Parts: sequence; C-alpha cells; structure tokens
Amino acid sequence: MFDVIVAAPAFAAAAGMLDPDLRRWRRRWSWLVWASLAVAAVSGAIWLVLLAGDIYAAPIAEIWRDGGVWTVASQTRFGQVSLVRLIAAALLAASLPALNRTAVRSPWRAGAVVLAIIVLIGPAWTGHAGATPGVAGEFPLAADALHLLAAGAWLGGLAPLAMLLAAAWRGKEPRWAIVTAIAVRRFSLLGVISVSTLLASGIANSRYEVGTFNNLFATSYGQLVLIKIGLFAAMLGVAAINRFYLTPRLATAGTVRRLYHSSLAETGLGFAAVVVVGFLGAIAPASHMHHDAGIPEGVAFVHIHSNAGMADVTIMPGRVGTARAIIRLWNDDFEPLAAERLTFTLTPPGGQPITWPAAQAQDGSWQVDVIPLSQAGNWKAAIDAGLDAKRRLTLDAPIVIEPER
Amino acid sequence: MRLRVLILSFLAMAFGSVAAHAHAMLDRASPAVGSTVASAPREVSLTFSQNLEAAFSSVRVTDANGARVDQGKPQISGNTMRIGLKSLSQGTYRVRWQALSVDTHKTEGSFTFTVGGR
Repeated sequence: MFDVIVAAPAFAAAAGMLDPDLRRWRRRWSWLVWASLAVAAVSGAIWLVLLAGDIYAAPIAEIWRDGGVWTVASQTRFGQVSLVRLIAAALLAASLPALNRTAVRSPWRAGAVVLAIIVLIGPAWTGHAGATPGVAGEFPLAADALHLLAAGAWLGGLAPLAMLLAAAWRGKEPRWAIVTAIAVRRFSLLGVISVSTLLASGIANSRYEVGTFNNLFATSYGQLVLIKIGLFAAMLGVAAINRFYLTPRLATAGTVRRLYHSSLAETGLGFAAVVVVGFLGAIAPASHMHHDAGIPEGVAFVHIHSNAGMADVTIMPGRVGTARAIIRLWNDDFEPLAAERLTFTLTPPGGQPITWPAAQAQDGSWQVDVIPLSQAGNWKAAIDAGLDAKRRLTLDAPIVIEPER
Repeated sequence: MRLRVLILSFLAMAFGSVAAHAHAMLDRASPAVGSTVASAPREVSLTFSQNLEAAFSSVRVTDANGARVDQGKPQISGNTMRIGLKSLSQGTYRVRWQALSVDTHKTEGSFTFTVGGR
C-alpha cells in the first residue's frame, strides 16, 4: 500500500518508456492495493463495532439500533482516528486509477503519500503511548508512529517488489533488466532506512512496554516480543542475502527468480511478525504487570490499586465450592504495607455482602481460611484494613468466580 | 503463483492491530484514598495513569446511606476527573469511578474518605 509513494515512482522513472508488460504489472498492483485497503477498512469497521459492544457491555444489535456505535465513533479518540483512517483509505482507493496516469513528480502523488501515512500511523494515537498523559507519552508516541511507518514502507513494498520481479523474470523484453536493477537498488535503500528506523523505535518501545530485561523472559508479553525479534532477525538475514549476495549478481541468469523467491520468503516472515503484533496488542504490556511470576491456574486474582496502597487478592480455588483467600498489601513503591487488622468482604452477584476477619500469616499476608463460594459470576471483593490508629485503607474491585468443575 | 503473491500481500490488514493495552488506574485522589479530612471538601478530584475518554468515564460520590452527594457534571480533561460536592457533614463517603482510557480499556474502582471527627 505504501508503495504508492516510494517504489512506484522508482519503477516508473526506471521504465521511462511504458511497455505493455509494465502497464499490466501496474494494473495487478492496483488490485493488490485496493484489496489491502478494503481489508484494512473492513477490519477497522468490525473492530470499532466490537469495541462499542465492549464499552456498553450490551449486545451489538442493540447498540447499533440505539446509535451507540456512532457515539463511540464520534466521541472517543479510537473512533475519531478510525474515521479519519477510513476516509483516507477511501480517498486513496478512489484516486488510484488517476494516480497511475499522473507524472512521477506530480503534487497528486505527494497527496497520496500523505493519505498513506495517515492510514499507517493512525493507530499510534489509540495505543498505550497515545493514552499516556503529558510529555511522558510523547516520545513513545513518536516511536510508535515511526515504527508503523517504517514497517509499512518495508513490508508494504515487498509484495509489489515481488510482483515486479515475477514479471521481470517471465518478461522476455531486455529493458526489464534496467527496470529491475533500478527498482532493486531503490528498494534496498528504502529497506536500510526502514530497518534502522524499526530497530531504533523497536528498542525504544520495548524499553517502555516491557520494562526490565527479566520481563522479556518472565512475561508472555516479553516472550511474544522475543518471537517478534526472532522473526525480524530472520527477515534481516533474508534481506542481507538479497542485498549483498543476489543484488550484485542481478545480471547473472536465474538471479531474478531467486530474488523473487527470497522476497516472497521475506514477505511471509513479515506477515508472521505482524500476526505476533496482533497478539501483543491484545494483552497488557509487561511493564504494567506487577508480577514476574505468573498467577497459578484455577485461581481468582485481582490487583487493586490506589495511591494510598495496593492489594493483591487471591481466591483459591477460584470456583464454586469452598475456597481460601490470601490478601497482600503493598504501598505505592510495591513494598509490603503493614496493617493492624484487616477484614475481607465478598459480595456475590445480586446478593448480600459477607465479611470475615482475616488472620495474619507469618509471611505477612492476610488469610481467610474457609470461604463458601455459592455461585459463579462477577463477585465484588472488598478490603478494609486498619493501618494504624488513624489511617484506614479500603479498596474494592470485581473478581470473577468460575463455575464448579 | 500470482495468487500466492496476492495472498501473502494482504499485509495491510495488519496495520490495524497495534494498540498495546494498559488500563487507567487511579493514581492519586483529593481527598486522598482512605483519608480523614478536617473540613468538608468542595470537590473530589481524581488523577489517573492514562488519559480518559470523557464520554465514557464517570464518578459518583455517596454518603453512608448510599445517597448521592455529588452535584453537577463531572469535568474530565486529560487524565483528571473532578466532580463538585454538596456541603458535606461529618461522616464517611464513598467515591465510585468508572474510566475508559484513550487506548479503549475500562476500569472501575471505589474508595472512601471521611470528613471531620476521629
């Protein structure tokens, strides 16, 4: 998609004389861009509708009927960014046929560049960095935007490049050799710039989202980041073969075909990296989880956070039956917080609250040994801790109890 | 072969899935969480760890009997949320908040503060 701006002018400049082969390539490539834009638009719209369902916690059909989807689209940053991207994608798709006929250096192409950039970097504003208040969020936001832009320039250019190589490999016309040489050279320059940008912004983002080096291995977010780094390294390997081994040998018979195949491989790896990003987006960044160790299976857990203190509430087993509760109190710096007494209250869905006094164990945690859990669903856990004669800490949060096994 | 190129090239769809999610946690509050204040505050002010979506964030303050003691509409800008209070007498009050962060995650929570007395 991003190829509108970088690769295409390069190819056109190289060709100079438009032969029918090139025109056919351009037509195919336009279909690719349209298909990509359509997928982006449709998936973006579906996401917006699903998000509205999540925000209102109501059936989609009902929200749709009551105009809730429009409220989310118009009144949240996510919705507004989605609309802007949708409009930019539509304009880009509509202008493509005309664009293919304009001169290489026309202002229309510059306009298309801007539209493509809008579609690419928009999500940065709806991400974690975009939601971080003040100056603290601005650097990661810029890193996010650059990362998206560089990934789009590189991955988005690979597919059309592979298509061009395929056409060149099959084309008997000798001028294809010139086109391929110039296109490959220009693309490798774009690749170097993109890879450097990806690396720098990726490292900056990891520091911000993963936090410590240990988190890379200890959290699932960190592990996914490692997988992505591995895929990126593999892509770099393929790219290096393309650039340092195959490109200098372009004139040799069979090289264009090999370059085509390795570009395909690079595209596949890039696709896998992007799928990993999808999973990363769905889970909380490692730097925002307070625990390196995972929470055991079958346990209901909630972390309650306030500026006066925090509590980790663990109910095990976290399902209907008899369970035990363990409560740990922390101060804002995540050091154990001392308390003189603590009561623990659970409220079943639609029921009356039940309160137990908790006993302090040797490790400093507070425990309630026998808790009957009567039903599954969204319960409320509440803590009332007397820190000293004057200060109290009261916290509550929902906690999910699973059905009996 | 051409089809394979096309299939592999649906890359663009991925450019929609980058939002890293974190939640708007209550960072600090005035009156502070669990605190006892000598005189009745005029408003409750909450500061969160993330910027908020004004249309989908709210706060309510209730007295010990569960009656609302907040008045007016909450004012939300950036990562802060404020709401005016009626004149409060001595007693314990509960603040309940719901927040939607700009990166589209919902959180909620509550805390109490006490006016006067000991």
